[in-house]
Amino acid sequence: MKRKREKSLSWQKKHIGSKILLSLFTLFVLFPIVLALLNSFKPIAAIQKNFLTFDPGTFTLEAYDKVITILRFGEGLWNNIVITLLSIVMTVALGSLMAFAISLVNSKFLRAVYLTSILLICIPIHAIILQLVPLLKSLGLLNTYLGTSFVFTALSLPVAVFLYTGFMRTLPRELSEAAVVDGCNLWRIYTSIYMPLMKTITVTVIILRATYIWNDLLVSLVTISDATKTMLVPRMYAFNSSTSTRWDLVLASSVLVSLPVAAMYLFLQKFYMRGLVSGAVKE
Amino acid sequence: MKKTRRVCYYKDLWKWTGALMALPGIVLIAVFIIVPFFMNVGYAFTDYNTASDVPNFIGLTNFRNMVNDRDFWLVCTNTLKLIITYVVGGNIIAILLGVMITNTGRKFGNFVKTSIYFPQLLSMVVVGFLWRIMFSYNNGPINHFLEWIGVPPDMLPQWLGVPALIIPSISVALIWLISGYYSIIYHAGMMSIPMSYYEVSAIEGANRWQEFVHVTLPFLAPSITINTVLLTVESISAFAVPASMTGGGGPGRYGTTLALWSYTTYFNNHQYGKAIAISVLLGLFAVVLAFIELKILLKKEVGNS
Repeated sequence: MKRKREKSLSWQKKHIGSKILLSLFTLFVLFPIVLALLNSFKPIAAIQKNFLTFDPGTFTLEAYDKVITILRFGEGLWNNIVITLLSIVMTVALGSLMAFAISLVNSKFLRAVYLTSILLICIPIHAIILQLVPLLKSLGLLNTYLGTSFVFTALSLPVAVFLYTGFMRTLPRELSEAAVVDGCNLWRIYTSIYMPLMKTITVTVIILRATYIWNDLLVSLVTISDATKTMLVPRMYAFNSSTSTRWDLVLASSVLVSLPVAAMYLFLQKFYMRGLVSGAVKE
Repeated sequence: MKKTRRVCYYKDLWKWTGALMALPGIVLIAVFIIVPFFMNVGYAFTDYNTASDVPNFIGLTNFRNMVNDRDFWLVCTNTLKLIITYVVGGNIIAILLGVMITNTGRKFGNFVKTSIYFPQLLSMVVVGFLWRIMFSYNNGPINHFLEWIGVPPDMLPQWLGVPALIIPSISVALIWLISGYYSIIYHAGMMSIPMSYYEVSAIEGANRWQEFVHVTLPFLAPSITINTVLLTVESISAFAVPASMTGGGGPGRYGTTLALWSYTTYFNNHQYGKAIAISVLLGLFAVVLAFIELKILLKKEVGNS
């Protein structure tokens, strides 16, 4: 009933205008991305002359070659993979556990935990970032994969808890009650009943947070000073200066950094949209 | 009867198991968000620096240094300008896109949603670089376009060079980045509005604008509330886009926001106390704004329903 809106409206035919505007907007959104992609295959001289022309004769992979050696791209990629994976595994495991306890167990303490994590979504990261170095140092976790992953996990948990709780609360109570009758304990309900139903929302949490962690500048810039352990985006940020910018290197590295995330998105896109929406809209 | 007993069972026996399950996550949040947050507030009143071991209490000196900085009001104005343009512009564009996506068919709508979400996958640093190209004065696509539609060459704006245009330009880049995400949220909100309301408004003879104002908007109120708060926090935390777009804060600090100022004060100028004071101000800013917005918008929500 609800979803039939587009079919049942009589003024449907008048929406050519919407289609044209949306097409134009889509072009506007994709334009800079395509432009960057094309320019990354141009020699620097051609880029400086004009961003808007593309001559297939001058096609070159030189910028990519240079970026991979200058940034020690392989090393950065490895760091990105390790830190992102570690943080995502922890976020999914700990976030779903928190949400499970919050939505199933009736206690004042857990309700306070839920409210606090919602509140924490509203705290800007800059209000804590300056203290992370002394904090990690005192825990012996400065410049370690684990320390940085802990920070990323903590920053991701409030959103994960919010999304998982929203989803788990829509599950019928009978589900867990039946399991209790059959003699399941809380842990069994979590692993055998709830988590298998959480695929969509897990994909959403993974894409949402993996994108953030993979692309993050601030946390990795601040918590990792060891040059061999820095992530990709801080390496790339070194190209940032107001005077002279090597556009060929900037663009090639932008494309390389973005590729894995874009691939993941295109691959999981269908699940993702569903989960994104189910967590965000209260009905 | 049975039911109440089971609730009791949940409450008493599982209270501890439940707390235990949530514990690892709670510990991480406490250690890496809540502790540094209060550390930050505490250190703002001391002469903390990375070399000294025991910081001494110095009262409001850090805050005084911050306010007396000649750039203080400029940076605050920049931040406020960014928040207003970003929150208002982002919301309007996302709602319009949501309406248009809802109007067009499912297939076309899905294609648009998938495409315009794409920028969200890019790093903020990449976004900043892309828009530095788009806005560049000499050979940027935007100025090329303006020239093409007939703007004389000496009238072409220096987007990232003229003080008044820098923050709006940053806003455009940020809205380009988030329009996909927020329009998807609004679109989902619109899809959950029962058809019967539109049928009634059609029978009553409402035109499209009246239908939008009296049916669509009231139903969207909860989404608007959440999105406005999220957009505000995002704009206050905007750091990498202004930094990479303006090459680290822009000509004469006209592209510097509070977040960026705090960072450069700490890591480039090594004025630790002042930087911490700025970040406390920024946190306060976020909390106060979110509170005000919630107060206004929640009241609207109740008034409408």
